[in-house]
Amino acid sequence: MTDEHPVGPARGERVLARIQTLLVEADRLEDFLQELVTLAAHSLPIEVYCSVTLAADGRDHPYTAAASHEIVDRFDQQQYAVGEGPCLQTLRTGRPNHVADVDQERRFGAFPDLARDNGLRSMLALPLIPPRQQVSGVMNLYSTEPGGFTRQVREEAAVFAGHASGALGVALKIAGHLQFSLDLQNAIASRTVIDQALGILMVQERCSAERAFEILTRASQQRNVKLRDLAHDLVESVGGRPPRAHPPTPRRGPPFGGRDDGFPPSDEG
Amino acid sequence: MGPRDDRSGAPGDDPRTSAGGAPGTSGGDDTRRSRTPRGDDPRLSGRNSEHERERDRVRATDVIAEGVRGAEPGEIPQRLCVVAVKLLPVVGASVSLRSNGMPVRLSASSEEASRLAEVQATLGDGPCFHAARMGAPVLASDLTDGPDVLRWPVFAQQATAAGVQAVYSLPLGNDAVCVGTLDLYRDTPGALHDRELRTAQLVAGVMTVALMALPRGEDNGPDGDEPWLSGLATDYDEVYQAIGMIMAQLRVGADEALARLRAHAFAHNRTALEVAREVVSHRKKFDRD
Repeated sequence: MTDEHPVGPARGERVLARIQTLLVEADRLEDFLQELVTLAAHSLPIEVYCSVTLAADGRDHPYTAAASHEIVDRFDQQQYAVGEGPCLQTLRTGRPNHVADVDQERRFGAFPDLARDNGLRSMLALPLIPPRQQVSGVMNLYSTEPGGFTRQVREEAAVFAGHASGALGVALKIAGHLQFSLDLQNAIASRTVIDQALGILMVQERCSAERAFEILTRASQQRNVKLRDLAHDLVESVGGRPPRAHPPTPRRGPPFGGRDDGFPPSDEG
Repeated sequence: MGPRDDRSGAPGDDPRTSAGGAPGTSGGDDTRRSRTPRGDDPRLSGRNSEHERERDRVRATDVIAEGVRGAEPGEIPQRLCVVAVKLLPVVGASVSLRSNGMPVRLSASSEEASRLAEVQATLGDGPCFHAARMGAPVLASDLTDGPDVLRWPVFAQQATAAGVQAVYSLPLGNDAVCVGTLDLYRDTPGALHDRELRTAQLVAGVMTVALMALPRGEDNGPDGDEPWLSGLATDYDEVYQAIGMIMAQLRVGADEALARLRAHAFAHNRTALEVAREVVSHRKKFDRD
């Protein structure tokens, strides 16, 4: 973050390498974006604040997924509230917006005053268009100085945003896969607790699994409680404590010994 | 790759993209040859060139595509176990789901593989538990001697008695969530080389996707939706129903019920699944002491 600022293509390549490294190292989408805004804030020729706005296609609710500083996180919220500003404009059009000096800015309604009140004097909004994703985003860059975004800074920022778009596409894809696995884990957990509840009923009612399932589903319908929730309560009432929602998250550590704390033997039997 | 090198290629190496991953690059591997080199296959360890990787990947993809052709979604896990045996120097493969408590075998390439999955589940110990815990492949390359035997003494004894001398276990899911394991069984001691590990990870990645693609209904809902894994997971249902029954019979929590199920199975030289079946059919009852 504190390197000298090289110029030209070498710099673009270095930024790309940095972004790719972030992608490999970050475990979650949020972590990746947080590192990305931090990198952006410090790797341009001027110091800036940076935030990333994301919005699912077809939805009207943009949100700030990451911000390099609290001040821009808060400011983004205000911008969404007033519904005007370079960020929202870029989100709509997919084209960059540059405000060179809020004191001279005639566009964006209440936005320039809002920015000035927050001590932000110039800004650049660049589109993030991850390939093949139903999400679009904006990289917001803010400076406390008017005229901060010279042509050279804007060009370098555009290169950065271009690399970030591709990386964001990969990050979103990984996050989607993660969600998929979480869904699967939930399905297994759900089935586990329902099976245990069926077993309890099989003893209490001296019946078969089929009959227990009928009893449980009827109770679920009559009480208008989800089957899983009802099963959960039954297992808790007999077992003395609520069933665990999930098995422990895999941890990476030394392959043998050393990191087994947090995994009581009872987790596996 | 030694038996303890199980992490060399694994963590952070996403199984879904294993072809692009770069598991350990220890040069020692190059000097070791697979025990049973056969004709055209990727088992021959060699230089890890990009070209070779690409060729391995293409071949594995072809064999997978051929192996699952025409299969219903519910048959695919079993077909993939067979594919794993074709692609890798192993004699059996099984896939187990993992939840709180006992992993339950979903499919296997053969009766023997099925049995070994049950042995691990019954003992509550073995490479598959370690793989699930670490979220990384665990390669127990020699269950006849050395560190793997010290690590899993009872499992090693039971596995070798069943004719299996090496077990490789790969987590299913991703870095953050483990939903089960793909377990591979070999009848001779031996390491899984980098290229083979990549191929195994590719199969594990496809297996993960296959599990996700299985039909599922909301909460096993009563609304006529086909329950997730219907037909495939009868063993799973029996095990957890038995745990519920033991909970009710002994007035204990799920962990204690599972421990009792396992202890009974072990003491009677049976698998936990066999005992669970007796419990759900009301043939075996656990009594409070």
